[in-house]
Amino acid sequence: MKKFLSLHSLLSLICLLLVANNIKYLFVFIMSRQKVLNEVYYEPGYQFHTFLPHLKGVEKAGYITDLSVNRESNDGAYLQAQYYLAPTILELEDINYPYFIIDSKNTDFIIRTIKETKARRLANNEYGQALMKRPAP
Amino acid sequence: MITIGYFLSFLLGRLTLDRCLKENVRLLHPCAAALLALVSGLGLSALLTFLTFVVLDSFHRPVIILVNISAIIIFLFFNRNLYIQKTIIPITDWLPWTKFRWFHFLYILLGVFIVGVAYVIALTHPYGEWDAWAIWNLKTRFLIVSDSWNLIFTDLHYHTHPDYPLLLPFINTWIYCFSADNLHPIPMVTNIIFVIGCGGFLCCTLYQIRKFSFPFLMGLIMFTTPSYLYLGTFQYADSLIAFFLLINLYFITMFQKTKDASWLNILGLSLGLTAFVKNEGLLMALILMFVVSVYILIDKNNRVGKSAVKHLLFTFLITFIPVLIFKVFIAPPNDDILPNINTSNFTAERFQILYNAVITEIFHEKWCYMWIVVLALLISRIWRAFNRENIILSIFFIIYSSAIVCIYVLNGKADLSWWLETSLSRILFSLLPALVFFGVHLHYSKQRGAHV
Repeated sequence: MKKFLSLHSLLSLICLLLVANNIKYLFVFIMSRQKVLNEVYYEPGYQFHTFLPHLKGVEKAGYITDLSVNRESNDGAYLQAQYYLAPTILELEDINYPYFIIDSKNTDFIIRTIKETKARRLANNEYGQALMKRPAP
Repeated sequence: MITIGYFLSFLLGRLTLDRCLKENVRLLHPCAAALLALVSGLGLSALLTFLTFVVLDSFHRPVIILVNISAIIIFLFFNRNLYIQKTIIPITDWLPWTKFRWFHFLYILLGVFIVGVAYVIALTHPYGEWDAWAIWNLKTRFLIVSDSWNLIFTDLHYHTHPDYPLLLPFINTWIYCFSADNLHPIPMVTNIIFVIGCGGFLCCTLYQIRKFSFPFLMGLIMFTTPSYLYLGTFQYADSLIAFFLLINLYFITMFQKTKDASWLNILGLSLGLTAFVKNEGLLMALILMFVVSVYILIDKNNRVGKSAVKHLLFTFLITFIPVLIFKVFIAPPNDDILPNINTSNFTAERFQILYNAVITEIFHEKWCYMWIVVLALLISRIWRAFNRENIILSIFFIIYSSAIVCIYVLNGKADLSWWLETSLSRILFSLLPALVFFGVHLHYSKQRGAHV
């Protein structure tokens, strides 16, 4: 009897209760994500998949955006594009390459960039990102 | 097909364990030995893969496979006497079916349940979180598909941290050698292995103290904490840091317990691999190397003698020299941490922000009281922290946590609140298994017959 009433047994019982508590929360966590489990997950950067055929064999391309790319308020689109379009290197804020991606929902910004570069659109997606090609020099 | 890669790494790891520990490998719980073999084997395979990239500059599948298989054959050759003379290590020790009892089936069931839960949690973010596809998996893709891996260090945006060591990308690259498809399931599987392996290793080593009792249940609490499993499936390198830190501390305690220098052999190898995981791993490895070496040199009761430091140093250099080559000749210097340390940031306000963030995180409901339990475990036996058998671990935790606090407070590159919000939970995650181990060790270090 003394063995069951010892401090060690009490601690073991508390641990068992905490394990049971954890298993309960795991069950709730999984059940709450049942809907999410059935969703189709696209690879990060999949929104740029239409750009891939045009960038095959291209070493470097530009990436220009009027959105924030600092650490704290970055939506990650640039890095998603870099991930998906590897091994093509995307140079941020540099449009001096034959190919560049423009990421903006601001019409003025887009028109100004197109006028400046005289580029034509090769591909685009519904998120405000387009792959442009500058004319040959 | 990718299971072949994991199996070859397991073989390599097991041969390395047997080579370093010899008959001491029997002190390990069989499941703990298997997990240790898999993890250390993956680390060594990644290191060999890194060396092929240094020589060949890009991904060459046949060469990488050949190098790893050659390493296995070389180890088999050097270990042959261990297996032939059965009194040392019978090959049947790798799978000790003779020791299986009916109640072990319940543990297997528990393990399968936790693996299943971890897999389901991983499926809720199959491509990992931000840093997975922006850093680790991005670099893995460049290792596999680019004509020159140096693009990672010269051309990728600084947000991808080009100075970071590459153990995790090289592990995934090694396993990719056996895949005909996309990279996708490999990072997820590797992360599941590390997070389950870490929890499993902790439970197995604590089980050896008093079977199904308080120590084992402490490990089980951690293993079933939803936040532990969720953070572990982010596909970051933090789960590797957690595992390597845990095994390093385990080897140190076994060395102190048995006074056998063979534990220093495997510790040295493991510290070198830890240094190649992340910059935090490099810091951990250097602190542990320094503290253990000083302990061996000044401990008067040291039966193995000061020459034991040579064991540690030799095996450490085997795995640390590639890390040095990487850091000195290949990777660019770190521009995040050290260049942005500014003593003018040493203000009460920043300490207050850090303190509030830590308290909020520790008492957050997502941890299911785990941190409260760990703190209670540590505080209840805190007076044993500076006994001879605990002093190495205590000094390590003091130095490492002080370094982390200094980095957070003094570094002014990013907004502190944002930085704490995005990284503090991961720092705590990587320390959790080691702290649980240390806490139990504080309780049982003076117990007769305890392996830990």
